[in-house]
Amino acid sequence: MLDFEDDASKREKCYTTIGQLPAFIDPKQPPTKRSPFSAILGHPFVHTVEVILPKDILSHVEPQLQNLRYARVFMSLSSLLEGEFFNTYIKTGNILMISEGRSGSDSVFTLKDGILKLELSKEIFERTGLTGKPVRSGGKKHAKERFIVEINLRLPSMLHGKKGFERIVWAFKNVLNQSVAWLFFDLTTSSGGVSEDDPSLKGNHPQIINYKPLITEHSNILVPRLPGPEITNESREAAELEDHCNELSEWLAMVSLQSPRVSVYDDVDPYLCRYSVPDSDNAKPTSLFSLKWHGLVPSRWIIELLVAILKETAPKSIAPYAWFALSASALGREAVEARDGYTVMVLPTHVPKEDVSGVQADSSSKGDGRHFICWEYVGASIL
Amino acid sequence: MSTSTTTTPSKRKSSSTTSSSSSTPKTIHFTSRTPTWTYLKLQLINNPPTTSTPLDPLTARTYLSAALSQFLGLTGTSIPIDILKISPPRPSWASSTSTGGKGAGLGSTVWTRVPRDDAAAVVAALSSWIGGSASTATNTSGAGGDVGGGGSVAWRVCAKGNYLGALVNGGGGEVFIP
Repeated sequence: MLDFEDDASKREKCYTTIGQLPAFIDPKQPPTKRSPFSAILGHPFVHTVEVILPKDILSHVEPQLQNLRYARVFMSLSSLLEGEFFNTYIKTGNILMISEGRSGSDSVFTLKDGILKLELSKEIFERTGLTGKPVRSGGKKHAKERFIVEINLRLPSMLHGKKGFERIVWAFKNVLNQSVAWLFFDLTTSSGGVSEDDPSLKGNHPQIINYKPLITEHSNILVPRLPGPEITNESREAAELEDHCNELSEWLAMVSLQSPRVSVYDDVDPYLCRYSVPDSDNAKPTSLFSLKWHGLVPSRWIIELLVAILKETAPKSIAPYAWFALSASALGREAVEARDGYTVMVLPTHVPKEDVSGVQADSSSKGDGRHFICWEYVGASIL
Repeated sequence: MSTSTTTTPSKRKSSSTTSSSSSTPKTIHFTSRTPTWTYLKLQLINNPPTTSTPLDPLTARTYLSAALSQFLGLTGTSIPIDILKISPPRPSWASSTSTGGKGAGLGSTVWTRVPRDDAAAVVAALSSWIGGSASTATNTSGAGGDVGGGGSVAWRVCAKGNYLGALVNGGGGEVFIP
C-alpha cells in the first residue's frame, strides 16, 4: 500500500531443505554433496556457531564438546609470501585466513585452499597491476565498480623469482602494504587451529584464542510440537509447509535471541508484541540449553561437531525425543546477496503410538536416519 | 495498515517445490522469498549521552509510534510493530563496531518485527526521526555535537532482514578486535 521500493528485501531468500540424514555417518568421511553437509561446506568462514538442545540431552552431548582454537594475527600481505610462512602454511600446509574489513567498501582478503582472494576498489585494483574481474557491489549506479583478484599460490609457477610472482610481490610491497588484522586457522592440525610446535606462526606474534563453548540455560521455554518423520509426507500443501518451516526457524531464532516472548511466563500486552509460539496450545514448557562458539570456525570443525552430536544422541534410548538445532553465521559476507548462514534442525523420531504391523515394516526399511530441516539464509542487511 | 501483508505466493515462482522421490530418502526443497515478517534490529541513540537508563517496552513503542506518525501520519501509527526483545546497552564490543564511535550515547538495542510490506516505510520513518526536545532539531543525533536545551533521541537501524535466524548473531566484525 505504501509505495516504497525495497530492493534488498526482494533479493532476500531462504533455501529450505527437508530430508533424511544417512543412517550411518563415517566421522572420517562425512558426506559432502547432500544437504545439510553441502550447506555447511558452502560457508567456509563462520563467526558464530550455536547449538540449541533440550536440557535432558545436554549431559549426553557435553563430554563431546570441542573447544575452538584459532589465532588472531596482525600482518601485511607481503609477509604471507615470505620464506617460512609461505612454504609451511601455504605451499605445503592448508590454512584458512580472513582479513578484517567490510566487503563492498574496504579491501578484504581471504585465503582458502591456497587461493588468495582480494576484493579491491577500482583505484587500488588499477594501482596493483594485477588481473582480476569486476564484481557487483550493491547495484548503485553511481558507485564505483569493485574487483576480485584470485591468485592460486599453490601453482608451480608461484615461486620467488618467477615473473608473475614478482609482480604480486611488487603489488604487495608498494600498493597493498598496510598491515591488517587476520584470523588464522591451520586445518592440518588434528586438535586445534594452531599447531603445537609453531605457536608463533613463524614469528608473526599471533594472539592465540582458546574458546570454550558458552553454555546458557533458557529455562521454561515454550517448545512447540516439533514435526517428526511425517514432515516429508506428501499430504501437506506446499504453502502450508513453507509457513510451518518459517515459523519454526523464527522460533529457534527467538530462543537464540533470548527473547522473553518464548518464555512460559511472558505476559506482554498485544499492543507491544503479538508474537506467539507456533501452535502455542500444544506447546510444552521445557528447559533448553544453548552452546555457543564465537571466533573463526571452519566448516570442517562444524561438520565434526554435527557428527559428534548426532552420534551422542543416536542411542535408541533417547533418540525418539532427542532433537537439536545447529546454526551458524557467516563471516566476511559479500556485499550483494551474501550467504548469511544457516540453521540445521535435527528432528525427533517420534515413536509410533501403537505399532501397527505396517508401521513396523516401514520404520525398519527407513533405517535410523533422522529427519532434518535445513535453512540457508541469503541477502539480509546487517551493519 | 497491514492489509497487504499476507504472504502472497504470487509473482515468479515464489516457492518452487520439487520433491525427488526417486532416491530412497525423500528430500523436499523449496525457496522461501516472501515470508510474513521483516525483522529490524534497532538501537536508540541518546543525545547528549545520558547515563544509560534502561528502556522499557512502552517507551520504546512510544518512540517508534512517534517516528511513524511524523513520517506517515495516521497511516504510520497503524503499522503494527512487535517488540521481540530489548537488551540494555552494552559498552564493550557491541558498540565498538558502530559508526558513532565511543560514547556517542548508544542506548538499548530493540529487536522488532514488522509486516514485510511495511518494512521499507518503517526504516525510512525511523531513520529520519529525531525525538525528544524540539530545540535540537538541526543537530543530527549520533554526531555528539553540542546540544542546546533538552536531550533528543533517535533510532539507528543496525540490521534488517526477512529471516530472524540470519540476524541474531550479527555480522561478526567484533572477532577481529583484540
